[in-house]
Amino acid sequence: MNTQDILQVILTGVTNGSIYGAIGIGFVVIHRITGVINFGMGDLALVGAFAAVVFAQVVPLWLAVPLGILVAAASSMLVYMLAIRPLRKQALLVQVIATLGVAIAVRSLLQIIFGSGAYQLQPFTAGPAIQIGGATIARQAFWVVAMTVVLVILLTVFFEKTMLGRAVTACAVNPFAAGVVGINVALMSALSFGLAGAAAGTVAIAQTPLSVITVLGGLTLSLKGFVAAVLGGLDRIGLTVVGGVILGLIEAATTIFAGSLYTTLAGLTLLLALLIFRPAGLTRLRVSTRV
Amino acid sequence: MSIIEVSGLRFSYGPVEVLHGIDLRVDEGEIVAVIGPNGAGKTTLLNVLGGAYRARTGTITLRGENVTRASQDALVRRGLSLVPEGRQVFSSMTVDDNLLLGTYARRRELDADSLRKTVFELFPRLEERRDQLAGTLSGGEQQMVAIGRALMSDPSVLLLDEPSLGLAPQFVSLIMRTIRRLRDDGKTVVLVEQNAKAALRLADRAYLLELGSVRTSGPARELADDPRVVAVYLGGGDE
Amino acid sequence: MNTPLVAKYRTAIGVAVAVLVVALVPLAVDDTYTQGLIVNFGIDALLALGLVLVVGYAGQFSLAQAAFAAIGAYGSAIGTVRLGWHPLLSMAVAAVVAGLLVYAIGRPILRLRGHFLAMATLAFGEILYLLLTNSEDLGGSSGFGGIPPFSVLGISFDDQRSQVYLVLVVLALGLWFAIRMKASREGRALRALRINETVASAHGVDAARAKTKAFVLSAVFGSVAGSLYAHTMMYVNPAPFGVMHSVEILVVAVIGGVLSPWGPLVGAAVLTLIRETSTSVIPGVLGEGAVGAGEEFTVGLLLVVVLVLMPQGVVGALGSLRARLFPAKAPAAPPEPAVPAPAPAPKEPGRVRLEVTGLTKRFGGVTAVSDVDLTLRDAEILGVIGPNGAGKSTLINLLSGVLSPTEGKIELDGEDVTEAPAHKVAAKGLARTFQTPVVFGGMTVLETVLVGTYTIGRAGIARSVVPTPGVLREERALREAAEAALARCGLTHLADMEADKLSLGHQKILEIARGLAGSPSVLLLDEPAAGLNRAEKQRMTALLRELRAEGIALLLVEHDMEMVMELVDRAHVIEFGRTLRVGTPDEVREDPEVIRAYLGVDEDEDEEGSIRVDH
Repeated sequence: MNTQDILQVILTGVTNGSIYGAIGIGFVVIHRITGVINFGMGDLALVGAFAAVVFAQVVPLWLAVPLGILVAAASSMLVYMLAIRPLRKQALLVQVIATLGVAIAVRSLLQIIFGSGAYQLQPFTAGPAIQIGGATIARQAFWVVAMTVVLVILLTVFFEKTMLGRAVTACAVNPFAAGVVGINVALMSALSFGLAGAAAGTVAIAQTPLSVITVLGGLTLSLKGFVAAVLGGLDRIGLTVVGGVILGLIEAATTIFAGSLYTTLAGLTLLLALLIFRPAGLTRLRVSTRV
Repeated sequence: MSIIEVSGLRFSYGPVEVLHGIDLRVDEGEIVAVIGPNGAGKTTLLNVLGGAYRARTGTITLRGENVTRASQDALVRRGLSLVPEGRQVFSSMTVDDNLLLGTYARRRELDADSLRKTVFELFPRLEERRDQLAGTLSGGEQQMVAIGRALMSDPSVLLLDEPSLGLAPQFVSLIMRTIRRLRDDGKTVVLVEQNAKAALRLADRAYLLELGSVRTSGPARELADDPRVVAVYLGGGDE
Repeated sequence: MNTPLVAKYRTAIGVAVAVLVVALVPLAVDDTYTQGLIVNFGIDALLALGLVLVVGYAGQFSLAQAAFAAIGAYGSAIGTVRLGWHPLLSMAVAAVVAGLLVYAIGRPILRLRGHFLAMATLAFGEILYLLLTNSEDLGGSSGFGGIPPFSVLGISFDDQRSQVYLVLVVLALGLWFAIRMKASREGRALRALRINETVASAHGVDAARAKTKAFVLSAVFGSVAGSLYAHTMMYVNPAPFGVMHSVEILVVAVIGGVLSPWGPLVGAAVLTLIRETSTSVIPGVLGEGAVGAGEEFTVGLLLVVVLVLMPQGVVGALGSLRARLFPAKAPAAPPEPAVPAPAPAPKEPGRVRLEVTGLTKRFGGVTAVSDVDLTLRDAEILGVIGPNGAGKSTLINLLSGVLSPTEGKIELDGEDVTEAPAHKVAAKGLARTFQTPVVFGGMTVLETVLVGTYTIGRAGIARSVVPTPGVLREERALREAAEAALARCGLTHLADMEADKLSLGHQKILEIARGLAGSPSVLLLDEPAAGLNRAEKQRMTALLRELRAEGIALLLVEHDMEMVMELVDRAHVIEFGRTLRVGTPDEVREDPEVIRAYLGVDEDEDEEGSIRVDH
């Protein structure tokens, strides 16, 4: 092990971790307001990425990116309206199973349209990769990290400083009281799905120039995002990104020191171990019932 | 002039009907108390009036307009605000945020700052605690937050559900005095209370509910001396 | 609809029909293609049957059914090919391994709220899949073959027709298991648990343990199905055991209906149909390459559509259709309902059953119950009264182990149960009712009360599936206990009604019958009369009197003061969580403090504006 390897692990880990964190934010935002764990999070993020790829064929990149984000947000809201809202009187279990159905439908629809091939976007800024102390990092990685940071700041400001954001939080804190002050809880739930789609979509788009995307990547993205979300206690946006980075670092270290065969395995094992031993993640929230 | 009129109101939880055809009238500028023992349907009635629950049959009019099927949002915009049972504050949000959310339904037309000033004049203690999380406040202070939040939508009608529930005596009298002051400021108040004595002393008129029906109604002072009230509450009456 | 004769021989008729189907279907089908379809159908149905035990009976969902099948398939393959074991031994060992693995994962995770199990099983499935794909020993992604046909007792299942027999026989056994389990003591406990965990625990069910059992069983079902798969294919590779297959199994269970053991059969048939149609239709519409994606799309869409349109699945929808076409009529009340109670175990009046000292419960900054002492004796009714919000329900929750106290001590029969969880308290003879009656949808009145007999039975899932004399005797004893409880509450004539179709008055009495079914020595009643009309209240009062005469120690939380005053031996008044007064009904009714607590203070007008609130 040398400093160059360690530096590379950090650079790769933080970049990938940002992506996991952003998907994790999607889980957290939806879970906080509706209690639902959305199995389709990764697939919805990919909808945004594929939309951006399509838009990039006809409009300039700077326009294709926001359009892709918009599509991710809109599809996520649509999922709420079509699959979750009609099940509002059913048990949460049923709603969660429905998100699984949505995930599969979305994934296979993408496959029917795009096939199983790899797609890529142009990097946002052209130029060769940057060398830092012997380690290499693509310029696009800075975009990924920067957009994640901006996302965390924007969402935090939104939830804590704006009226609408407070209203969304209010639904999470006390839905009955939210209704009393005239907040439309269903609308806020739809909005939370939209926000989640936008957040996850943004970073999925930002990473598309970095590594290719395929339609089958959604499940893996969901699982890794979920690891980040569990580390964030399914509640904290900032800690979720921290969780994502932790996962990214573990994966990067595994890749360098044990080989890429074990990368995914490391993340999955971390998830299983977390759920068994530390389900509250980095938080001190109470998640277990009295036994 | 009557501001709220309710006729033939029925409400069921699933197959169980808990309000069996309520008729009720509230005039502008008066305090109307709805009293009765636990399980009488008082809270259900108030939640139906406030739009939290939908009535199955019957009509509710607000200033002559049929609002039986109106959303909570629409009711708040028409100047009707509910202070629900058990405070129901946003516990993990600050007092300030709780108050601010009170303006949500009318956020485009109201000036939050001046309304907040009025609330702080009414409850100076809330100003001291404005940055504290509402869930960490005492029960009495949470009740102030709940009433303050309702006032932030500048309502003309205030529906108060058991504001004295579980509060120590000095808070009960403070809340009761506040309610009177609000009436004196021109607000109409519907007050649901188990604390019958305090409610009847405060109210202009009252309805006694028992098992989902209006048992009797009339001027509050007359009900205060009505032996049926004690019988309904403590049992051992003439039936 | 069920004539007594049909009802009596229902099991026998069912078995006969099943035997006929299993015997005749393989004879009628000749072409190997259809035989192959039937084998696949059977394996999918068996996998889904395992999932129904988790989703339908335990209310959790798992995405590892294909992974369990992988354990079975690879286990059988390794056992027979590499180790030279007998197929039956290999199958058994694989099933045990699957069960143990799942126990290790399920036990901690099933204590969690929310849907962690789904994600954990998803991760488990992915890990196993990756390990299998990367394992050079096991042939990696191409797997390995040479698996001998399944054989048992010298019969070898080596042609396709015999394999159809094999799969159908195992499926029929699985179905038998699931049906028996649903009607067994543990099955009832699980179904109750799915609807309301608190109530089930109050009847002695250890929630996390019961759910873990169901989860372990689902793994065993999955593993056996996987073994069958390996023996019919004679070859294993990782591809069929991916997450997508687990999802398909979930779809099978959901489409059929997760509440009924018959659901998987319907669901598996539908899935087979979808697969057949997609392979013939999709190439024409979307092209050859889209078959897989098109099929998946149909599966995903179907999952959502079925959930939205008929969340109980096909079998559930048929059930509600039948209920609508032939509505059950409430039987007329018998002329004289109340049956005198059977002689209860002799109890000495006055013996202290429940002793509580210094009980305190704080929620954050709020003290809900503060320093309460109380004693409850055999053959007495203690009324706990107080204004709304005084802490009465919290008190019942503390006594029954639903909440654990911040301070203080609770002794039941001289034994410290302060920290005991609800199911342990119930096992020691304390029963309780709930303010809002909790009836278990889909259960009859008798079944509902049978849930209450949980603490007096012993038979576990495995034992109740095999009808040994001991098990039958126990089930009969439980049934008699439940029937006795119904009889003393005057509900016998309603025993076969669906519990959720009862009137509120009957549901409230049903709560008590369920509480009584486990022969408790202490019964806590949380507002038994709330919402009842006058006649129903009188019936309730009479019932509680009888229970006291039988020697049961009763604690009554009630708002109807007329009833309380008429019924209780002593009244314990609480306000703000503290004891205000304890005494006879008359003493309490006259007490000025109590009147103040109920009707409020008649404070002086001239205090206006003079009180500064400080504290």
